[in-house]
Amino acid sequence: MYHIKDTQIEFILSDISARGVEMESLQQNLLDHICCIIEQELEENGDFELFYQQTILRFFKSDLWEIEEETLRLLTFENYYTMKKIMLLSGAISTAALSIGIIFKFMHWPGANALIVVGILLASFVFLPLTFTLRFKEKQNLRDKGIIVIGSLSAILISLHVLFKIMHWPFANMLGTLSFFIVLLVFLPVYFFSGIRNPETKTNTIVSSFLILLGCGLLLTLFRTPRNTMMQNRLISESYLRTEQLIKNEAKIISAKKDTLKGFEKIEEIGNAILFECYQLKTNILEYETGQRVLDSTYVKNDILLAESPVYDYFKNDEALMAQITKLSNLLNDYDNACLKANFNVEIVPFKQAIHNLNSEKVLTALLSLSQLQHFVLQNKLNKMLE
Amino acid sequence: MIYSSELIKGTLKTIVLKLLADNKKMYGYEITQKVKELTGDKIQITEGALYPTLHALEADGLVSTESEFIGKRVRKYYKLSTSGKLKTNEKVSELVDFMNTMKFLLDIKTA
Repeated sequence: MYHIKDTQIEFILSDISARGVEMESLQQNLLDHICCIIEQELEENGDFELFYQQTILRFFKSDLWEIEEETLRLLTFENYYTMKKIMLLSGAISTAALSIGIIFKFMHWPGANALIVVGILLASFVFLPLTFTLRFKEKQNLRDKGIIVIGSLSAILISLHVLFKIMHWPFANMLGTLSFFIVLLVFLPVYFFSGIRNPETKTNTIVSSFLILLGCGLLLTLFRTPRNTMMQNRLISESYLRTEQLIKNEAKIISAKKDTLKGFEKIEEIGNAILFECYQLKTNILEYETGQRVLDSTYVKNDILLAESPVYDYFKNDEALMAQITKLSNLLNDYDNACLKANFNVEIVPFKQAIHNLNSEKVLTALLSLSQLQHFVLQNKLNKMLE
Repeated sequence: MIYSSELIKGTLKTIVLKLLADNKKMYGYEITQKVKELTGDKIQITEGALYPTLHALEADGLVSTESEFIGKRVRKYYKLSTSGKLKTNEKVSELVDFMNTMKFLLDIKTA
């Protein structure tokens, strides 16, 4: 039986450590194990150095740190295969839900939004994080890990950006801008410069970088520039102002004649109520959109512009505003009935639809629908006056 | 004949648990030697498979450890915890059941 000296124990321990085993408890286990083998199998005057070098080879296939890697895999990745299965499953479900959702959307079938939301949520919160975790563990060096962190983060941000955008949730554009910044200014440079250093990955890296740049470029081409949006908003605001001017002119002409129109009293009364309700609704929408209750000609100078926001957001949490739509719809029915009674022939149906759907329109469409209704009421009165 | 490591891989946990159930406390080298001795050298547990398994069993709370200083080195003894004892019975009967099924599946004629 061989007696191992303290210096030899130190030598073995430092060799184990040098071979990449870092866990202390594993180092101790391996050290004791090797010492046991040497004590049992080496003769008293045997060659320690030679025997050790032969013995250590029995512990691994190509490197000693394989043992530590396997230990870590068992410790942290006991559910490695479950994770992999869930990753593949969630990937399949999310892409399927998204693709089917898009087909539904184009066909205007019900359930499209639900499918798209499920697809994006599943991708952002299950598939991408799991892919990230599994890949992260597989990579050895810090730069590869970093690339995976940034890449996954921007992928999650981009998919959330789309989700926020279609759900009209706040900060959607901020998320989008942030993810583009991360992809173009952080991910791409790190990925590119670390990839081209390695001759094996050089071509692949260059091609992938081009693809990412092309993809981002194509997406950004679709976006409207802020300046363009500003011009568009000016056009919208002008359009609204022109309509308002027309209504004012009509009202002025009508107000010239003071005496009541015989047989038209009821219609006129309801008509006035409709004019007032429309005015109220427009004022409220304007206030939500611009912070001002009236849009006047100083709008450009003061930068108070209508945008293409959906009014849905304003009506969603404002019951009083929703009640105004109901009130206006009822008034329209009353108006219709009154016209029928008085044998006054008008076609009111298109307005009923437009007012009913008011809360799902964009700002300009909603405002113009209300203005057109005002025109309609005013012009009916004008017709009666000209009879 | 030495069995392939592929065959041993799936049963290693059970082997270690069973050995610890029969031998109060054991250290790594002892376990490999015991298996060799009991199986007449037919099953040789590699260090690369044994220690990851022991650490995993420890992390699962199925075994506890005791350290003993031997000169300048530390020897870690492993022994079953209460939950480990329960698990051992479960694993052993699972393996027995599995072997019976394999026998049936491969249609081994027991003369």
